[in-house]
Amino acid sequence: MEPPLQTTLALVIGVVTAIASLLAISISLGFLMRRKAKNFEEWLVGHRDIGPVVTGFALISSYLSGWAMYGNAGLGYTFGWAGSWLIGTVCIMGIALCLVMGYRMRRYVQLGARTVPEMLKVRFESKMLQALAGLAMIILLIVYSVGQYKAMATVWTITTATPFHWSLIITAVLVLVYVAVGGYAGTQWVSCFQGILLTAVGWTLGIASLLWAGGPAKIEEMLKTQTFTPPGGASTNIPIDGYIIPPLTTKDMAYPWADWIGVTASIFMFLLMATGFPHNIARFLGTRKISKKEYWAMLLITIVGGLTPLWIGVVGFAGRAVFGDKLLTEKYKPMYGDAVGALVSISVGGIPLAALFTASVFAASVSTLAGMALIMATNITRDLLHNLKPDLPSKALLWLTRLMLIPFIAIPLWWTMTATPPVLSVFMAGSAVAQAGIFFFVVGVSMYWRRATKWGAASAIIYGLSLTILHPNAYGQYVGLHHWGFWALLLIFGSAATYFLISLLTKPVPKEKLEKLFPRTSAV
Amino acid sequence: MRKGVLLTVAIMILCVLLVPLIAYYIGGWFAYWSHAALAIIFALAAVLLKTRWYWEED
Repeated sequence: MEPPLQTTLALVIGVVTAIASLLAISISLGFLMRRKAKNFEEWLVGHRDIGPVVTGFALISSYLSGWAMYGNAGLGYTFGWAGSWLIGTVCIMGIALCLVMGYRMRRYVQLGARTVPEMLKVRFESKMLQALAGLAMIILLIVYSVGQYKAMATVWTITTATPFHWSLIITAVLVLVYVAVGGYAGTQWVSCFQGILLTAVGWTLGIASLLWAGGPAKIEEMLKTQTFTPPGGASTNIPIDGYIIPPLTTKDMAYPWADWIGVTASIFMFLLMATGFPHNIARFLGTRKISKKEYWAMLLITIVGGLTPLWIGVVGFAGRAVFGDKLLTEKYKPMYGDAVGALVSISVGGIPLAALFTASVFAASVSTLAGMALIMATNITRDLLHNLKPDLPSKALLWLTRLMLIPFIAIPLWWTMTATPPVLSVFMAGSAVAQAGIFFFVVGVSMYWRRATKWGAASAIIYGLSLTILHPNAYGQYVGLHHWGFWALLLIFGSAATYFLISLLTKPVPKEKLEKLFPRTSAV
Repeated sequence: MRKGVLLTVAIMILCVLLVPLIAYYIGGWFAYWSHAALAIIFALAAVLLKTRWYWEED
């Protein structure tokens, strides 16, 4: 079957209406909650009275970015079953670890922390570490933002027939509008609403596409007839009905599915990255005290929401079974297989589902972009400037934060325009490995391991960032590091080794200072 | 360490180990959804560890 290429006026109206409605609801919720915030600090963490349902869905919303909500379809479409290693079939493991470990962030909020780097300042009494963590986050989140741009611009291009570059500019404008009118304020409530929407739409589209393609058996049968075609390249004779795509060239080794070492590395990435993502763990900054029963309720929410990326992957398999490899030709450049999500949504559910799906991708990518731009802006104002000049007035900081949003929206925009990644999720995985390898230990483990020191944490950040530059598709290829699996394992376990060894070799934080962070009632 | 804790941790490790093994030996849809099932068991075990043996009050 040919992918639907005709964009109708009704579809454009449907898409614009859905996005406008989502924006209106998000902004209304944002304003409602912002009115309650008296100052910048309250704006960042609210009243610390957020319950398990809102926290659970907010965590899901921040986890489901353009990668999970849109890019996963591209992975399933382009790489078949092997794409599963980045679709994140085991992502619930990592989300559960974040759920278990992240709750302790509350303790740091009580001690004055309002951002993740501030938590590190409190934990290690080190402004240097706060600034370094802020800087690392900026670098990694810029990379992560590129994928969000591609997701939103692709779905906009497919549904409205706007040229891709203009879609990118429209995405940037939407982010600016979203932030400017307060869509990011009242984060937990807006995120909760979006988490529910993403889960509902993801499940609906996944199940509908499964039926549309003729059922699971038919899809599996069709995948057996397909061979791997690199985006924009010639078809190979490598089947895509297995969980490994053996590399033909050195360049093909830059993927997790090249062999089982890469697969192992991708499993570790998913185990650690939900905790390592600063925007995920920050969700616990505003959480209230939660009972055991409520904890189980929160887990149930994250399980239901955590299955959404798998349903989006199903959309990709269904698309490949029906469309074949048509989307991997030059005709679809620079979107390629990433276009499949939008095309299947149009084919499966017509205007209503396509409009809802576009609004969901908007929620996943634009709100994540807005959130990341805000994190990066606060990294500059609160973690760097406020660090240097603590007497800066709160109002000036707020305005500076708003001003700093512009470069952090513009830099990834420019990057996506000049070097659009062929498969957005593969690109974003590079940043995810680094965030997992660095921040799982520096933030997550440091909340539980008394012996951690600022030097251990700082060394892990520096090591992790250095290895990030050596990604096989960046500078790694010039030093012989072509293998994604080796690179990812070197980054994750190297960061861990650096963190633990340097911590053990350096002077620990005095016991009396640790008392407030690790009270005697604490079980660990 | 308590037996229950060790058993729960062993289940969690087993869940992780089974992921590539099922992909290698079985593959297809079964592997895809069984990964999710293993992840859910892992998640239940992780929360059980916290709520039963490592619960912390503020």
